[in-house]
Formats: sequence, structure tokens, C-alpha cells
Amino acid sequence: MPITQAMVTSFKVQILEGVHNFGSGVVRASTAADKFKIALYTSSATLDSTTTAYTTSNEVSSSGTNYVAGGKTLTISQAPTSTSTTAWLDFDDITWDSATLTSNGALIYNETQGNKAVAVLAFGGDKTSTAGNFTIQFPAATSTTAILRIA
Amino acid sequence: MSFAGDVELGHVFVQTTSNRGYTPEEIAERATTRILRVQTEKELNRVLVKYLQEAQESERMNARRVLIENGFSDAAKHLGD
Repeated sequence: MPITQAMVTSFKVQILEGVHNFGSGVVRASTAADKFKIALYTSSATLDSTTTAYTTSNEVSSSGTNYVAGGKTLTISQAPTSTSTTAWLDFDDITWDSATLTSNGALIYNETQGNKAVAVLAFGGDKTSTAGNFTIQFPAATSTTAILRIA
Repeated sequence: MSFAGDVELGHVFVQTTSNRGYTPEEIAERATTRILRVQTEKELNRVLVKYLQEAQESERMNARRVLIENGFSDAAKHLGD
């Protein structure tokens, strides 16, 4: 049998599960999944790969919008899994009902771990709901399209 | 020598409405994408409940709007926020 250099697929899944700790790490109170949230931002926000934590700066207003600061809790619809050599997970779509708001992007962050940032989502322009629904539809739950993947 | 290990981020789609909830067709479009990927009966049940709740909420939103537009704001409050 040949030896093939690889980052093993089980490790990729375990990264998403928080199994391995190469740094100072965190003390976990339980084995339960962390609580991940998603917050909406206006076009005035600066969010990118250098963003480290949730911020209220230029978050969508909580006044008269039916939006609450901090955003909403995400439901993990697919716990970390793997297909072929790609580890991935999925969230349920999230909806703000009866909302009057305009947003240009969003931040997924880990409330359990001190609101540390996970991912910045750019909508590609302002998206507006007026006394209606505002839904973020996550991509299809596959190893090539899912929202978070380690290939 | 290199090996894979790229962290990748999928693309989201934003769906909005103005002065109404979602139509059954709009909800069905999103639900279909999910249902086609479901692999267990338990997960199918969870997905169906989620989207049926969304349909109910959309209908309540429409009812609230009609009541408010016709001067029945107090009655609208009984249908939730």
C-alpha cells in the first residue's frame, strides 16, 4: 500500500467539532454544541477576514425594525460530517418576521465562546424587507456547496 | 508537495417580502431544496415542521396587516408580534 500524504478527513470533521486543541484552547462546560448566532449589518459596516468578534457597530437598528441586537440563534441542521474528503456542516434558513430593515451582510459568530467571529456573509448589495420577511437561505447541504466546508 | 485543507464558505441567498408574508410557492421553493437532501425520517419531520411553521407565521402576518389596515390594531396584537 502506498503512503499518501493527506489531512485525514476525520480530523477535518473533528476540527468542526472542537476536538483538537493546538493552542491555549478553551475550557468547555459540556459536550454540547456551542451557540452560534447571526447578526445583520448595514452597508456602513466594515466586516472582512480580519473581523474577530461580534460588534454592534453598524448593526441593523433595533428601533422599529423587529430586529433585536445580536441577531438570531442559528440551528445546526447538519452536525459536522464528511463526504469524500470534505468536512462540512449546515444551518437552517433563518427568518426575521414582520421586519422593516435593510441589510448588506451578516456575521456568524459563536456566542458561547465570547462572541468570536466565524464567517462574514456579503449579500452583494442592500437587501430590504418592509413589514415583511427577511430570510437568509443557506446553500444546499452538500460537500461542495454547504455554508462551512473544509476541503 | 501540497495537500487539500482549504476552508470554504458557501454562498447564501437572501429572500425578502414587503407588506406580506411568504406565499406557499416561495416557501416550497426553499423547502424543496432541503427536503431533497434529507436522509432520515426524523430529519424530514423536522424540516417539514420548520417550513409549515413558517407558512403559518406568514399567514398570521398577512392577517395582522389586514386587521391593522382596517383599524383593528388591538385585534392584530392577539395574533402575535
